[in-house]
Amino acid sequence: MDRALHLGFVNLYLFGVLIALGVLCALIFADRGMARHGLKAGTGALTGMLCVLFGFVGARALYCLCVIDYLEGSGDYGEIFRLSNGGYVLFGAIAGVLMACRIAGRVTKQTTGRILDEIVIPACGLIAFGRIAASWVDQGRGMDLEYWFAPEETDPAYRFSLFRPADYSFWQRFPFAVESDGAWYWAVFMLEAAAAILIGLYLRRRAGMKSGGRSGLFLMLYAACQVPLEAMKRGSVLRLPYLSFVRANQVFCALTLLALLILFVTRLPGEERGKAIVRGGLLLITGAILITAMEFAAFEKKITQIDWMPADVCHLLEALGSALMLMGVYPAWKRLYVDCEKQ
Amino acid sequence: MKHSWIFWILTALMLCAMAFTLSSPAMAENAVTPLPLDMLEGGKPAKAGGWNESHTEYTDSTIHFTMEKGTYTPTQNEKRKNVEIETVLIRVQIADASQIRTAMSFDSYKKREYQEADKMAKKKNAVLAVNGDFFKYYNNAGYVVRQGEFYRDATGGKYQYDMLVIDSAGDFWLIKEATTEKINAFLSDELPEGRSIINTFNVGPALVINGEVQDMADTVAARRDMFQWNIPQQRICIVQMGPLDYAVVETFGHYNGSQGLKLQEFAEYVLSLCPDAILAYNLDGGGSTNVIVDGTRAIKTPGRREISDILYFASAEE
Repeated sequence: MDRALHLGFVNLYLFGVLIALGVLCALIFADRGMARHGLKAGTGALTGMLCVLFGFVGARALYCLCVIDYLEGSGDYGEIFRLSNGGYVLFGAIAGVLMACRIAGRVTKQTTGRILDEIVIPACGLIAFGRIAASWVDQGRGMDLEYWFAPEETDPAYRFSLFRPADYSFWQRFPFAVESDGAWYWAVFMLEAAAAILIGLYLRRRAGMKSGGRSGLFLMLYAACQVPLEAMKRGSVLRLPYLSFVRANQVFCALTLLALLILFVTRLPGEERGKAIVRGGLLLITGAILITAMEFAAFEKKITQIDWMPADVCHLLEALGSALMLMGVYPAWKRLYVDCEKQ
Repeated sequence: MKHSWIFWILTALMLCAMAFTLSSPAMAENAVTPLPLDMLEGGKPAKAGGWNESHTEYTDSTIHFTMEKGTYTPTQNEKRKNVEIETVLIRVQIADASQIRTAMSFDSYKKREYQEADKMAKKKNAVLAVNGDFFKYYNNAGYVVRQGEFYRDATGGKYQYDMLVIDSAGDFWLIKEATTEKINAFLSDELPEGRSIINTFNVGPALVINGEVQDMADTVAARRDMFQWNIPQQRICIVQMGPLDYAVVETFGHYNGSQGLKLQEFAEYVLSLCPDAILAYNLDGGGSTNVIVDGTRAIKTPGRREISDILYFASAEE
């Protein structure tokens, strides 16, 4: 439901107001952080303006790429510019922000890494806030609890949870679940918000990193966390064009981790690259295969050899797959941004 | 940096603009008094007293629904385990053509996300709902009209499907391997005057036409090896038996082909249940198969897949 205040010929959208306020708060925090850590005066203002612009464009551009088959089929390319119809992808915003910080770095003659490091913690807060805000327009939900628990279902091939409590009313409340049209759905957005907050707190406490290290760590952790969380969502899930069974955000997470591995490996000393590529590549591929298999197994039960496996176990295995992918990238990051500092 | 206040002002202006444009992260999500044509509108709520105890029959002044579960053993026996499969035969008679309707996930053609069939069915007060043709899966294929509104003509692409047309009188028409030219010819030469296209489906093929089983090997499904046509699968079809008289036939199956019917077997089975079928049209089977009766899934399908659209029957009784 798009909650909006109708003001004559324009609409003021609740979601837009919330995101705008969240962005403003994040930018103010980032600006203060930049000033505190010795970045040039005005860097925050310039970076903030560029981040809003590029983040917005990036989010919309990536969404339009995801629906390119729809645009082709309908021939209605004007939909790209109907911004109030919705359609924005967080990873597109992240890509836009990366570009914005690079530009800001060039203009102010400071390293991109320093600028990025100052915005990641406020970004975590913004992501958490954004996930909760999106729930107010019916996003970020999981399966409904009635189907999830299905206490009367005895055949494991038709069950989704390892647990079958006769009375699951304890879970039918916020913050575990949200109600809509008489049914209770898992509040996956709360897990997403919690993950973003935990990442922010961890980044805040983690010290002793070279410039750019904090932002690299944020991207790794966020991408890894988001894979299993995305798998739990039902309903409002963006999928890839031409491969409409594939969750778009999971692919973006995997691509982010792959891009980070490539970036880190290219910066490693030559003699260390081979080992990093082999280890990182193997772990990324293994994790991706495990995640893909669990995607087919969890809700659709398409892998008949394990159709007895409940969805919650599949999600845990997807989390393991994410952890494997993270382990493929983390050592290279640590070598570049932590170990070199100690040396 | 000088004049950083300018950047803050520009930023604030952009944020204000954002508040006026960001509606949602995802797309925003779409005798007898005829029901409104508008897809956003559903049917009238079914009367609680119209259901029998087992929810296999519903009757009111505008709709009669019956559901019968059975079993079937395919005659072409090829070492399938659990060869006997569960089947469902549903008959629906309605008083007005507006009671056979379609709905989309999140009530929106533009919203790419899928939704569970029972959620869509409940929202529309469907007495009976089945999965449609999953037209949002291949967004660049097919000729899509839903509840009288035209959405796309992508028949010039890679695939041309056998298209089912439901007109404003509730009658079924088939356009084989539909192209824009064939559709225009249908509109000008075949569709009776005064009628219009209300809904189209682009999956198929037609299983039975005027009481005759069609040869599945001679269909686009076989030529392009689509819809697992020659592998035992869960199947579902919609049948027109007469004016405002319809049937749905569903047969159980499993992804790995160990249970289920091939498309030819399914066509023959449909004819055995509906010998007077005017047109039986195959809908999207496999994991997409859904039969929703009074908001609850009435058949078993391994797993739970969200889909993009439903075909449903609703009451029009006030």
